[in-house]
Amino acid sequence: MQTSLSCSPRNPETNAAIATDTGVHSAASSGSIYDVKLALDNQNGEKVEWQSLRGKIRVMAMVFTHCPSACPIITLQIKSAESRIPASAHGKVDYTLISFDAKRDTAARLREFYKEQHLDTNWQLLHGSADDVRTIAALLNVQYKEWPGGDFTHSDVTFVIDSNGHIVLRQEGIALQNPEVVAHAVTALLKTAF
Amino acid sequence: MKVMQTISKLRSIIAALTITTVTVPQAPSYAFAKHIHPFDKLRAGSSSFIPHPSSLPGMVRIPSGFYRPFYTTKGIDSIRIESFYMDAAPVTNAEFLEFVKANPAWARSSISPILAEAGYLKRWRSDFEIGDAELADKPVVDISWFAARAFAKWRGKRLPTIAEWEYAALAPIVRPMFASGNAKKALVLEWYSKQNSRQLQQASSAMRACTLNQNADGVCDLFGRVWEWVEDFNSIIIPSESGSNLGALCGAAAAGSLDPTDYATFMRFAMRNSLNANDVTDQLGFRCVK
Repeated sequence: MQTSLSCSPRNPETNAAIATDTGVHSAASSGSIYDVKLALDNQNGEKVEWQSLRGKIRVMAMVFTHCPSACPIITLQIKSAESRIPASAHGKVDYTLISFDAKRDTAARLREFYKEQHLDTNWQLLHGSADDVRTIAALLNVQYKEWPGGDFTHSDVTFVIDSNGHIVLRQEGIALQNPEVVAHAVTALLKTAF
Repeated sequence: MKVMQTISKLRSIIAALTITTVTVPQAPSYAFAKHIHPFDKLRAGSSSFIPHPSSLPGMVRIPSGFYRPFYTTKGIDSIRIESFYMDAAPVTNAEFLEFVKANPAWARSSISPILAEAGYLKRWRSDFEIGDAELADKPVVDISWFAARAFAKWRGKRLPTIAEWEYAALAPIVRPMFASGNAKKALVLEWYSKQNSRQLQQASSAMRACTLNQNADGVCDLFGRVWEWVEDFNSIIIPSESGSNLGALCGAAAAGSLDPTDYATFMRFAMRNSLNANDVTDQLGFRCVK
């Protein structure tokens, strides 16, 4: 009995978006993730209003920099997606990582991670209060849990978000990360937007 | 609307689980109860069944103690819960209306679908009118996590964490009868099996807040009225080697849970796990803590 209850995937509807041919899912009816007001800080210690992220296509993921395996993989996969997106898109697409770790992922630590991962100027690494992190995770439907000791268990999800804040791709599961699909979703958005 | 599917699945599971007749001991006096039902050992800080006095209107104090998580990870057996105040009863429609009036951005016609899906406050007559007088004192439902959280902030409160909610739920039931341990588990399952919107809608004034049941800390209607949002509803991840939560409550759930026979608790975790933050249902309300 427990099995029949518990073994269905958590979000069959959102997961279904991945299965579409183009990888692009129309989500306009579900509202914009930028419909809330909150502020984060970036790796340079600058304040970033959440609503100001509107206006650009974004590849987004939630990570923490002390994460031993999953987060570096997610980051690498997003870099790989970036390399597949035409150079003409430069400046139109941003890559945004948001940290789960309100305590340890300070601007200084994020700047180190930025260097370690050889990220370019299209990348923003953001951190905020535990409260705002919870809000963003809720907007993105990402699950996470902090354990005593400060590490996190979390969903591994890469998002493609259009310039209005609609999630058009949700790629969940570390084994299911596919930079080609991410790049394809971004390219499709570039065609419609510009 | 997958929440509704989950809830209806849950109900059929409870129906199968519910023991036909639940026999619970008749209520002894609180003082007497203390001796025959040793309080859950994990709540070592709680030595009395008499609700702790609270200076905050409508709230009761939950004493500090230890909570053994339903799902945990290696090396973590129990976590300390600091004392906190909890609303004695779920937030009502009348209370929620005050919030909406003061914060019109949370009115039905203004809210972004990312913050509350269609159906938000659907039983109200209009943006700023409940309409049905019967509803005023009943727990507000059809609200999203975002809305519940905004209400809590507006009142200078917050939503309880899962650990706080579950810890509060450990206290024995004292009304309508005394129940702790297995008798309480059976009683809660029975209440869950009866919990449905039709009953709530048809309920008369006898179903107003704080009448269905009450626990030793003075918290009312934690069970059987409505399910309740918690702050970290989106943190139910079963630890696994891979660190991935695909099929979160699957397989590993039985191994990861410290008490797989506690169906009522399992159902709450399964319910929370099925939620998205903008979901609304007619079975899901909330209460605040401070």
